[in-house]
Amino acid sequence: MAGYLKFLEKLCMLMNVIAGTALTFIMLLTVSDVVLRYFGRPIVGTFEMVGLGGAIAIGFGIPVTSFYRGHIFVDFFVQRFPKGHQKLVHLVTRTASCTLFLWIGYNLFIYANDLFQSGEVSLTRQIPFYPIGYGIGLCCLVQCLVFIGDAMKILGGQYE
Amino acid sequence: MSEVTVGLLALIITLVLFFTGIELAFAMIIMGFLGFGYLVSWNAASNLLAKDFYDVLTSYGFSVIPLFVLMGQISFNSGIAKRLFNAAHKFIGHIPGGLAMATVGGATVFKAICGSSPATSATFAFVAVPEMDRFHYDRRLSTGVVATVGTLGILMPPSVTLIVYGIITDLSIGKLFLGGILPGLMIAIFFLCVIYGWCKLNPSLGPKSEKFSWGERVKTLPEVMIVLFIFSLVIGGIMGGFFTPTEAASVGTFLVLVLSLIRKDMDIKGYIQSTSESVRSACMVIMLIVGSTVLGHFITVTKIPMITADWIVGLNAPSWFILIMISFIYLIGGSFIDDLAFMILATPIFYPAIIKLGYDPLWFGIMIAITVMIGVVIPPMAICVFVVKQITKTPFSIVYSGVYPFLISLVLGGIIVFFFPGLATWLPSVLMPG
Amino acid sequence: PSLSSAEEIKLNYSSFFPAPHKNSQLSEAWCREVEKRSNGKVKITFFPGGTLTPAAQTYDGVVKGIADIGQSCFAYTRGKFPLMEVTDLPLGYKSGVQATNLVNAFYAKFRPKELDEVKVLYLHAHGPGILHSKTPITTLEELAGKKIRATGLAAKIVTSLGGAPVGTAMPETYDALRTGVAEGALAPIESLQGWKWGEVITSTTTNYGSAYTTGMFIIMNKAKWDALPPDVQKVFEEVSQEWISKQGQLWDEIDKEGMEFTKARGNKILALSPEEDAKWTARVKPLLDEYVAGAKEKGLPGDESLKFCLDFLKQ
Ligand code: NA
Ligand code: NA
Repeated sequence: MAGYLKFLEKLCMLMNVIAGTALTFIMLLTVSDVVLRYFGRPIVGTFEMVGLGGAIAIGFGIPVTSFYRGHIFVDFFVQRFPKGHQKLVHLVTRTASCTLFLWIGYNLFIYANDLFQSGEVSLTRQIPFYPIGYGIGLCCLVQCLVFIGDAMKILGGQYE
Repeated sequence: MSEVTVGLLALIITLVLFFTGIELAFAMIIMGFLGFGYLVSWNAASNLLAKDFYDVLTSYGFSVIPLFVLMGQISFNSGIAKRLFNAAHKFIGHIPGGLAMATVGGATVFKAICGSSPATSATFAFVAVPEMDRFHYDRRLSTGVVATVGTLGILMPPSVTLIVYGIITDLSIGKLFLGGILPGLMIAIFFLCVIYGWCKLNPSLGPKSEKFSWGERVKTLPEVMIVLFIFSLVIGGIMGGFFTPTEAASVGTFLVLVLSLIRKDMDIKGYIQSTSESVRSACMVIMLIVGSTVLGHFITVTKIPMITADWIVGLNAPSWFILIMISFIYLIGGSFIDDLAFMILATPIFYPAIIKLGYDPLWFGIMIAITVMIGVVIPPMAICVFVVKQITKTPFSIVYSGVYPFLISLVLGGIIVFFFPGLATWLPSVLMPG
Repeated sequence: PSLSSAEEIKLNYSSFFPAPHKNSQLSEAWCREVEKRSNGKVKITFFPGGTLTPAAQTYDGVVKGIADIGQSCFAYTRGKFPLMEVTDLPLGYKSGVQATNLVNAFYAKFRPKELDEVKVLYLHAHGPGILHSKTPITTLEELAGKKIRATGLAAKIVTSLGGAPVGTAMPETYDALRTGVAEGALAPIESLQGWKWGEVITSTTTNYGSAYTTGMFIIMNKAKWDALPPDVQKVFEEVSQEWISKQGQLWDEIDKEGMEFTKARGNKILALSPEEDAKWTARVKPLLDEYVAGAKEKGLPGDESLKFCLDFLKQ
């Protein structure tokens, strides 16, 4: 179990760094566009590239946010339960969340396939959309690994 | 079961799910998916999940949220925030709650540029709360302030809420911007009064310091001059038309980053850490937006917004009562669905009724904006409060006891604008007649 | 005997136009007309403002059944409609009626495979997309280096004309024009009223020779369509045919209103000299060639479709 959690944390951190890199990229891109625009030579398609870069910044940040329990939840009610009940409730919510993200990930792959088949591209630069679809789908699957890790922590009595 | 019953039932279950300790965003996505699947089809609902996820993540408008948070993060990690608060302490530290007042000023400007109330609250929860901790401010005051100040920008130009309202109702956006200024300033002054009065009553909330001499004050200036210069550059750049507020996120962050690297206040490692943390805070906010989008699409197909609106408009009641009911609907609707999306949904239905009741449409727009401001800080979906609670690791009860006084002044502001419509309509009628 | 509600066919219609927009009113009227002529056999709920499906997701949303009927622009999903793209090119449109008739005629003639997944009810297209700016522009020299708001294909038009395209989101554009982030924008003149840009620009250039349009569709989910009884299908077809001309006229009507709105604010309408207009037209010509080459690459009749459109506009 310790090995799995160690691996999971490494994986999440790696994705976090990718997300941070995407964030840096959209910052530099926008600044360059603003400066070059002043000289009448803007970077055409910045608008859509920022949108796609942002998808990587957020999508790749989802698992790590979950790993450190960074998504917003309300626990004051559950905390009043006896320990055993608490564990059960947490296991149920982890299972439900895991199922949800498996389903979202699966459907994102289908969606990305559709985007690939129809050849849909960004409006100005004609950047294909499907890799982003697959990318976010992948993030959802890694998110499932985080929920499995959560379940391990709950059973091992290490969840909060 | 009728569509409306399904919708109401799903909303109740969503609220119950919130208490299981599941992430709020996930609960909203699950109920939105189940409801849509039940009413429309499971295939469509599955596809909707993927589409909404993809659409929110790739949208340009939301891409800049992590950038604004990053600007705050770099300021914090490189000590810029510390220097700013030290200077503010020397200048207005002797006023009860002075640093909280400075935060109100800073956050209002920040929100006017950034456009997102939760992102403003997230940034200031990171930056301002630890600084106020340093000066022994009570968490009730510090978290209460950062959870509510993000709302002020909804009335200040260039407010996206007012732009969208203007387009829907065919009103001049310039006039709406002008109309928001006096009510916005009034509520900002209320906030300052709340801080002053509250700290006067209970000095331990925001302890005042000795009064510093002008010599000591001036000594802090070189430290903060360059930062203030960058901020004025950003504001000036927006006003002067060099870049849009969304682009300002990148420009401002870039300038703060360059400054920090040159001054060696932060190394590359610090920068990587800043980006990682920004991504996580932004993720938290954007997942909630995904949740409210999925749930919102389900609520839309239940037709609840349309049916409620038709019902209220058809009520045989005094006009003030109908107006209060309408505000109430915006309050509740904006809680579950993204408030901009709800405005697009509800405004066209209510607008003719407002005109028929003889109310001024511009004034109504300002009233709606104030209602939206109240909506983001009250339960069940008090996004700004959640964000602050999560980032500062402060219990709900404490954040809320800090939010109440500000909430009361928001409501008071709404009531005053209700009885004195001139507050909203006077400035536009003088500066943009006709 | 009246039909019970169980037999009533309920359909959801999603459109991205905001509820008060005249296009939404016309779409609502279409719904009511279909309901009336089908003797209450169908009931259509109209969702305006992109509240059910965002504009870029509408086509696929109809394919997947999120909405049963949908209205949106071909241009929002670039690459998905490689043949239909031709009608969005700067072919030199003069009116909304002309543009609307062209897209429908084009569809009738070529029946593009790319639309096979859905039932096409009818199409339409806005009036000439022209230049609106903060300072008067009547020559390419005056346009050179100017920051013009445009996304998608319009961004390429701006580049071809020597301007610098600025991509801002539609709601943000008002403020971009106000502050000068953008010094102009490409759009049909109705936007001056519909998006309030008339408040923040000072002149409109009627560069009709290089004017573009945006093709829009009203489509229906195939399975839902196939499930309709033949008499109801007939009603849908008939009403849709009638709405083509109404829609074209509406575009011209709101363009006229936009024109009056901007004139009333003291803004100028500037015509190009015939020689200058020809220069602008020549500048955007490479975009037409680019389309033909791209279509050919995909095995589509690019030459024929462009020729069809240009001939149609000459009539
Ligand atoms: Na994005
Ligand atoms: Na709320």
